[in-house]
Amino acid sequence: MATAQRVPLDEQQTTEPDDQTGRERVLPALHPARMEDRCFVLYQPPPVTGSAAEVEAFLEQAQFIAEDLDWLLALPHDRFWCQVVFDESLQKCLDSYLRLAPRGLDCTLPASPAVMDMQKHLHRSVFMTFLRMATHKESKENFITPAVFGEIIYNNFLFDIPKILDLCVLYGKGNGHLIQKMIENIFNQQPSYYSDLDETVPTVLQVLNTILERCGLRMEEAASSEPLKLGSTTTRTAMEMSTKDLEDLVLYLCDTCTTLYALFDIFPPACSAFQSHGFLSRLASFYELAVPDIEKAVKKRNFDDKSLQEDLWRRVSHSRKKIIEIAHLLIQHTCLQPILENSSENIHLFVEDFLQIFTSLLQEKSFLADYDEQFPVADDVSLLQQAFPLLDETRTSYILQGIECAWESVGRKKHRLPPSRATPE
Amino acid sequence: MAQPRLTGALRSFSNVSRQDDYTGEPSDLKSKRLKRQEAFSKEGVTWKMIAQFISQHLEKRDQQAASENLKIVLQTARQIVGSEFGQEVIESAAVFIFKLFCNKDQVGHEETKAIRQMFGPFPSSSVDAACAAVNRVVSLFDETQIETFIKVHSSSHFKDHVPFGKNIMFSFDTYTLDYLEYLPIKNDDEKLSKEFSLNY
Repeated sequence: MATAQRVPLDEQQTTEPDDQTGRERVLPALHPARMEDRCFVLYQPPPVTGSAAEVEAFLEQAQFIAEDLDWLLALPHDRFWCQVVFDESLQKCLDSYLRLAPRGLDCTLPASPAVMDMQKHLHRSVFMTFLRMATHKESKENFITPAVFGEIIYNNFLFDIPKILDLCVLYGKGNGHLIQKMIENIFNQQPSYYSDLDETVPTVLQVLNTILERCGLRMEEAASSEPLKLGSTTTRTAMEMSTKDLEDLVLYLCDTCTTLYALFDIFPPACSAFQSHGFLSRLASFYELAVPDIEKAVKKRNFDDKSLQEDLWRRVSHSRKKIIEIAHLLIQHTCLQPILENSSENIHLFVEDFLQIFTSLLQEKSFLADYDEQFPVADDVSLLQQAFPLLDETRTSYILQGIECAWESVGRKKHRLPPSRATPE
Repeated sequence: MAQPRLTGALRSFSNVSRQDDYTGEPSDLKSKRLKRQEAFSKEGVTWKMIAQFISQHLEKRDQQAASENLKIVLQTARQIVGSEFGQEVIESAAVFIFKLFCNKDQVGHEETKAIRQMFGPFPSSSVDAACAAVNRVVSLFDETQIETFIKVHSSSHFKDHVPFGKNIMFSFDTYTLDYLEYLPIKNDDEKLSKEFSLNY
């Protein structure tokens, strides 16, 4: 038993019998000797074929995890933290779940009720485990010094950026409020996560480049700054690659867009981190280049399996929508919200950002037309005019005209909403 | 095969996560079972306690029969866990079997599952014999006498603790595909972009 009350866990001491000598000894409450050798097993996703043997194997392995996590969640605060900090098998188990658990978007076959029940049980238990790991104050008696908590979760990789992204995409839709609080607390107590997020952005951009390269395409910036590799002209396009490669490419695109959307939706500060790398303009260029190519390949190629073609089409369509929504979240959180909340003295800087973003996007015609269709830019400009009367009308007119041109150049008609009545003075 | 994921790329190519977290190797279920058996053997009732309780609470004429049945339980426990294990492991398995069948007339799906989960594959004839032997012992007692004894002596090691998150509302709602319903069947490239609208 911990001896002190209302003392943070990281400062508590406890007396326990030594396993070897049997004598009582004083230990810090957070000590590896207090961890139970539980040997958590790794998660395997539900079987694809649904054969009885595979189902049984899944249920058996999942049952071990379910029991172990139930046990873990019932542990007192000090024991729980000893286990999560020192038990590597637990961390591997949790990591395997985040990596392999089926997302709502995955192609899943109908599973038996037993498999579904078990999967649900695990899904909830894993979430509760992460939630508990993100909570530095569980009650008046059970808490960890915030700064120490920040060090513990960071130094032991209890959370890292890929895990946070997995949590967002797995749990964000139904448990957005809890996940949001959880991630905010992690970042608040350990600002190093902001640096890690920043460090992650180039890899995300590289993922977009990889998708383009697989389609035999390159972003303009990459094309101008890097020489073409010898033999790179032989790269296959989306029309030429194998069906399996095209399928993988579309699944990758779909997962990437949904995961990023989930992150920005749940944790708006991530928008600024990504925008500091000019993410939106890269995303728009990506959209302009990759989407028509992949769309054309999915539509025009001959598929032996028509249901696969339809599935891929839906995924491309979903990805398009998500990219547009990501763009909107980025603009919303990095420019519009600060302007509309009028919380900053530097409001003109956010206005300038807004104008610059749209000016730079004018060349991305189909992206702009699709964005404007979903989130009319004229509405935002009108709001800005109310919030910031000094708005440069020449520039806003230029942007709105550019958007009109974008609609024309992609050959679509704008569905105009009736003009809103001006507020009487 | 694992699905291609953004977070997979981040784990592989960025330097923000532990590289040895998950290797993709299958788990060693044998070691897991051993750990589980070990943990179980520390939970309260021992084989000695069961044997003692039975000899203390039975008339002399019933003691002989009970003792023979307990031997059968021990033997079947040896067959289930494997003869390579020592007496301690076998007795712990016998306790597990005794607890499992003390209020069951026959071997059902749940019992089979529980035994396989604990010990791995096992000969079903041994389990049937164990179940019958336990039933014969229990029948010598009042209806709930044995059950009460086991309950009283079972360790409540953290089991009575309210699990974290018990009262937290959890939703299974998840991101799903959000798409246009149809696949336009057109051959004209130019028309594709005109047909495809984001007006959802």
